[in-house]
Amino acid sequence: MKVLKKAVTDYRIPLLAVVLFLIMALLKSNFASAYNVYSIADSAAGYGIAAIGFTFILLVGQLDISFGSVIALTACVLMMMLKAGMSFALALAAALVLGCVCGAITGFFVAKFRLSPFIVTMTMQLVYKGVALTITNSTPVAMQHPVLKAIYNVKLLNMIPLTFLFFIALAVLMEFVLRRTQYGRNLYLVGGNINAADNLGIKSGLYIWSAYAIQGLFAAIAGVAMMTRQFSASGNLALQGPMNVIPMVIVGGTSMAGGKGGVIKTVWGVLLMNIVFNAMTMFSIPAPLQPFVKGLILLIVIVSDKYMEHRHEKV
Amino acid sequence: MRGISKSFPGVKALDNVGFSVAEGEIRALVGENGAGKSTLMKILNGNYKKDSGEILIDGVPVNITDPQVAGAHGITIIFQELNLVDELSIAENIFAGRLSEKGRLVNWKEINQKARQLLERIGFDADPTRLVGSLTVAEKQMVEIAKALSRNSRIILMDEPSATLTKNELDALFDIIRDLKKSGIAVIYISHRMEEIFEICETVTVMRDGQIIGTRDVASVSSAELVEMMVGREMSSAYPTRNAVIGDEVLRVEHLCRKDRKQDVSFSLRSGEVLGIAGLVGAGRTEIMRAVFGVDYIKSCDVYVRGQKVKINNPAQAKKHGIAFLTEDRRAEGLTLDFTVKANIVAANLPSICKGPFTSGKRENELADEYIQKIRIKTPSRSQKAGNLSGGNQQKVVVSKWLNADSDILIMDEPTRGIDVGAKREIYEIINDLASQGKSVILISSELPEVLAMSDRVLVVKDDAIAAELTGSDISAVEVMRYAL
Amino acid sequence: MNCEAIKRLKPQSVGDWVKNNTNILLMLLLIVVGALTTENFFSAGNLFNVLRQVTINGMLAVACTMTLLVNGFDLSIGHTMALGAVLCIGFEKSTGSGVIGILVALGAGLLMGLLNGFLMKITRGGSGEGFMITLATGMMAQALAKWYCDGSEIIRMQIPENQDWLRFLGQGSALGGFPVCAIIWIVIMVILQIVIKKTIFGRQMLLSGANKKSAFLAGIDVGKVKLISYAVAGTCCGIAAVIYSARFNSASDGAGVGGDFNGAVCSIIGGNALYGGHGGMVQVFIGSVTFGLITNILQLMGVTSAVQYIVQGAVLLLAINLDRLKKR
Repeated sequence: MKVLKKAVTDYRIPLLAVVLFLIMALLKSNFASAYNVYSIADSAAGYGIAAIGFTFILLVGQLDISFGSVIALTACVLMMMLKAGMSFALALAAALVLGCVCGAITGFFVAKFRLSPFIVTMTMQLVYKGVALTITNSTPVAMQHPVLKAIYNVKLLNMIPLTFLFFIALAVLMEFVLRRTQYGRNLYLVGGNINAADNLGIKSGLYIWSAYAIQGLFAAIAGVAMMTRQFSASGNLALQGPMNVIPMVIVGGTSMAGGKGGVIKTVWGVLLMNIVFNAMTMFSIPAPLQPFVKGLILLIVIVSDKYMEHRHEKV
Repeated sequence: MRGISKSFPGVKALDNVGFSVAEGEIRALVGENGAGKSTLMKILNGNYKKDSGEILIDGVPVNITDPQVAGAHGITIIFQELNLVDELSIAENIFAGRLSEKGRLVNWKEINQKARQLLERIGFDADPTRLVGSLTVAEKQMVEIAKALSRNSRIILMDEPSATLTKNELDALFDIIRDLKKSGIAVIYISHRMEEIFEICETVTVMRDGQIIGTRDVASVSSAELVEMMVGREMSSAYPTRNAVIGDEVLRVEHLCRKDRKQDVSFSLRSGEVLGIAGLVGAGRTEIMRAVFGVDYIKSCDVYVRGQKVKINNPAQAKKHGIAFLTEDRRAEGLTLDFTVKANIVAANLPSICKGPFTSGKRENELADEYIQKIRIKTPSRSQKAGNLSGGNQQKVVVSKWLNADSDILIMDEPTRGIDVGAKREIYEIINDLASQGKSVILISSELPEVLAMSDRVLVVKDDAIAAELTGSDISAVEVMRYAL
Repeated sequence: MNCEAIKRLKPQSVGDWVKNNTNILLMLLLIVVGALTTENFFSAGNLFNVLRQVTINGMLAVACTMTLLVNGFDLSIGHTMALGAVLCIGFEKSTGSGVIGILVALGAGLLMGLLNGFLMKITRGGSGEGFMITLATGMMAQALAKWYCDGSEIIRMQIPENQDWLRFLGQGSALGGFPVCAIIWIVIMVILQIVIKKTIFGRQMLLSGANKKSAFLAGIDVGKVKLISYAVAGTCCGIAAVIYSARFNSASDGAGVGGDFNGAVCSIIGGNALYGGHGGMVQVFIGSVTFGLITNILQLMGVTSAVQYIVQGAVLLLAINLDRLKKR
């Protein structure tokens, strides 16, 4: 009995995701249809990839709300290069490197100068958006590029888009990095008890910096994934990024305090949240109110997390 | 270590210190707060850089630049604030940072196995995959020791290891230390506790004011001698005397039940009285007083001030009834370091600086000057930032704050910790002064001589309950220790 | 001799003075640049114009500052203003009364502030919690605004000018040309400065922000203080909303995008501390004017708004870096 209770607590998010899916399938006949499953997987892929990067940020005890703008910027660069006739490989490489660089710059300010991650990432959010708007002259860059289309057209079992597979594959890879490499384990140390990490001679600053660079890289990958659907990038892409991704990661089980969580947990959080978002549309919640509900979910997640953490203190 | 000197801004922490230990030696390192023990050990461990002098291991000079280098030379320090990550397993904490060879993957099976072996060696029977967060403090210390062993340490420094241990856990720790000695590992034991030093250590080094006073064999030295070496003068003259005039009851606490503790605490306090609260660190003294003052959530408590039942759910209400609480951590909780001395002095009684609906800078200045003079706070000006004052003067500012709030029941938690001898005396005089004015002082202190000399009555706390109440001639070190341990 | 560090009060060197007063120096520098590049810079007309342009960000900066002082943060100020603005215009339209519009806007701001403050209180939050919580509430406010105005701009109804005193608040002038909106802003800053520096509540705010544990132990109800501070901040956003509606005669859900940033920049480059307990409205004024001048100069230089973001961002990063150096 105790074992069962522990299993339920440990795996409550995956269970919740599955249970919710089943309930929705029972309530709405077409919820479990191939089309809808595809829809869920499709929307999960884009922000899900970004969520992988965000997991790293939370694990080292930091925060980042600039990744939405990084997605926008890298996507713009990608589309501009494709439109200019460059090869997909080159454009892809450029976008990924740029994402990494953006993350590294943000991380530099946070790690090296020990500035508050809140203000820094809030600022960089605007800066990167500004850059994206500038280079695109504030006009969306659109192109029905064949490679993007090809990726879009791959549907496993008519239900799973290729991007979703990438998402899962990347998640598995990064989880492996977290669990089986010294680098990954040191991330947990830095996030869990930075003093202990310093005392062991671990260069915490470098780890924090690297987490931001990884976040940038994954933001770029997410941007590419989004381009296989939207075929159009602008400086205002992924404005809702933080609002979507943060609940996914926190609900999944990675804590804002640092040192706790993981990528597979995030995957389940991503699935759960996307099922919820999908259900909202299914139940005809008006479009403008959906961000309200998302914000509300984010709010509940954060407040309950923090309340549980601090409820024994009076102040 | 030879000729070690180290200065911090404004202060010479270590002055030409020489210190050596032999293989398998269990050495105690004692001294008052600020004597330099911590600094010396941190230099050995690579946390600080020495200004001059050299460190030799096996007769060979080494250059220790950071904790990792120290570790490579076989030096490990176990800090009071344990360097563990709660969310990670025992095995991972033991091998933190060294889980795999460079560029290779982590082999968890191997790590867990090695961890199990180490734990067995120190007699700690636990599953290495358990999360450290689920362990007791004593168990966590064992993990730290296992960690030290895993680094093939030859010298293990323990900084106040017994602070939060019960008697049984302490005995277990001592057994482990004896085992370590058998393996040729030297243990440097920093502690204030005379009883422990005499039980486990072979030799003892005394430091005072950044210098080594001397090293003795434990067998051939007495506790009083050690104390004299630490303090530099005879003990008895350190405390001012007073004629206690004790009046009626001013405070009565009944059935204080904290959350997660089954103990039921009751005590009372009279006017003009200094009530000492003795006990080992971790016995729960501070927690009891915090509960009385309304700082923590508790299950229940009946408080009577001058016979009337009052409700104290937060410090504001306690303050209203004339109760003050000078916390252990004066820098983090007693003062607002960034603010000026005058701002701190008036912080608990803001209406006192009001002229009409607005606050008056002039009134604030007047009040500040009054207390600076009365309590003899040494500060270049009343607008000096509180963080810049010395410990003793900071404490005086805290005292002033509560006097300004018209408190007549003052709970002081370790008021003389980290304060130099001269300032300590001044604090004692202030306490006596308050008592002779008819106010009451509850004095929590880990310095036994202090509690014994200053108190009219002593409560001994053990395991979150009051184990004994001592009065008159019963107030002695022997009696206190009898109940405290 | 004792091993505690005893710092002596060093006489302030010129370098120290410069470090402590960079905000004023920067503002003066920009005024000089402005004077050199613009004709009639010091004319009443131009100065009034600058003040008018600066007011809305200035009000947001006031709101931001109220939360910074208690060691919090408010990312929702921009969206709260947007919500207030669309509500103001909408209610004026539906009830025909500008007064109702104003009251609704103020009410919306106050409610948002109370919500934020309440959440901060129950999470015992500092600036970290403040950031995340107001991120969420801000987005909720923006979503509400979007829903209310159907995602498109909502435009004020036509009112004959001599009866349109909402417009007067935003675009009018008084006392010989002084813009009314700026008067409102300055009056509010003066009132709040008095509260902060000269009342018990203000002192409680500063103590709570500087060290909440110490403040609590000294008998201050830190949770209540934070609640009220956030409520005031929210109301200031409501006032900003009124001025916004009055100035632009229209509003949409996007009206507040970047507002949190603008408010924070003005407050911080003016000299307010990120970590609470220090600062005030004088800094807000200096920072808002400085920020306004920077924006002005950039616009005159023909720099696109996108590049402006970058420059503004760089300025903020510089400012908080200096801020951090000052503290350590």
